[in-house]
Amino acid sequence: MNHETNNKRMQASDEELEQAIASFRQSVKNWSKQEHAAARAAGLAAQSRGRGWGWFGSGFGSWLWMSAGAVAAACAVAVVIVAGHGSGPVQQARAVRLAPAQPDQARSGQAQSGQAQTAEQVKPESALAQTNAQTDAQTTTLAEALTERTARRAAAMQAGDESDEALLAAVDNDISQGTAKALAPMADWMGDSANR
Amino acid sequence: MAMSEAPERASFDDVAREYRPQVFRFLLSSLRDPEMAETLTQECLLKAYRNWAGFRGDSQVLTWLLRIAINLQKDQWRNRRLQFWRQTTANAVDAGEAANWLASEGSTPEAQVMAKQQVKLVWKAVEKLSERQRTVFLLRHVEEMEIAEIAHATGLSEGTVKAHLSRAMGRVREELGGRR
Repeated sequence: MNHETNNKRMQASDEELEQAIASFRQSVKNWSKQEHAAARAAGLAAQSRGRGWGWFGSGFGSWLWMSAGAVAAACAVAVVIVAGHGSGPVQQARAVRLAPAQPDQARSGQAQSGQAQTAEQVKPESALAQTNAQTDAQTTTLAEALTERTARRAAAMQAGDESDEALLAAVDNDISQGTAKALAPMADWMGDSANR
Repeated sequence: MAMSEAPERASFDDVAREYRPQVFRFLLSSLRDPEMAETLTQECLLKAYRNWAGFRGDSQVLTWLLRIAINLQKDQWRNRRLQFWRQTTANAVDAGEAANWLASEGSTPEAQVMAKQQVKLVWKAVEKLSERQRTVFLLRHVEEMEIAEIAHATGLSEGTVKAHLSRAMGRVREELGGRR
């Protein structure tokens, strides 16, 4: 033990210092071991959940699980939003509009307003097609009638029946003969006169 | 320091398992706050993991890890000086309590009391040291590192390390002598 009498401060001997530091080191190691074991025990569950990352400790394990939970929650919310978007009336109406050739399917969903509106839109389209077909048929009939009349008139001109008077004379002749066929040219003539 | 292999010879998982307790111990003795020591140990390992590919094996793995830990501690001081200090001092284990962790096997009750008293005085002296002196003292006498390793871990020259260590030892010696 050295005593520094000059400045009246006492200092420990080398032996004493060495012994104190050795005790200090042992104390720190024991304490650290104890605290580390406690931290390890707390992080045991985290280690078993995520092997290979256990050395980060319980705090890091918890952080990993919290992050994973947040990602899972975000995914769940996204799925709910997408599912809700897909089942809305707009989505249903769009689906029906994309298949106009299936009116039966559209009518089967009349309980839903979106589908009913779409069915109403499909119906006129079908009627229009039917109308167009009828118009085409009438046009064909008229064209055939015109062709027939033109041919008949051409034949009459070749026969020299160029005037109404000639025709009327022919009719009178027919009437005088009392035949029913005399009325046919008369009706044809009356129709032509009305159309002029 | 058993493990000084290059990165390709040891996976980081093994390295972390091997050295985690030592990193934690250094931070615990430096801060005397188990919670803060645990937090910084995790940060240290996370940082080391990110930089593991860049570790060339110029120093021993433990020295490299402790250098990261020391820098993290410095960052804490620099960035959140007041908050860090308040938290650490509030949570810090009392020197008397920290001195209780002595093995009692094979020693008389008187020797145990004396040893406990010595440990308490060393803690008191460590409390009074500057940050650098404390770091150097703990690396030398708790982690039992060589001067060159301490210099590498702290980024100081060997001469500076020796000077800090000498002052720290003087403080401890005074503390031990002053009890009489």
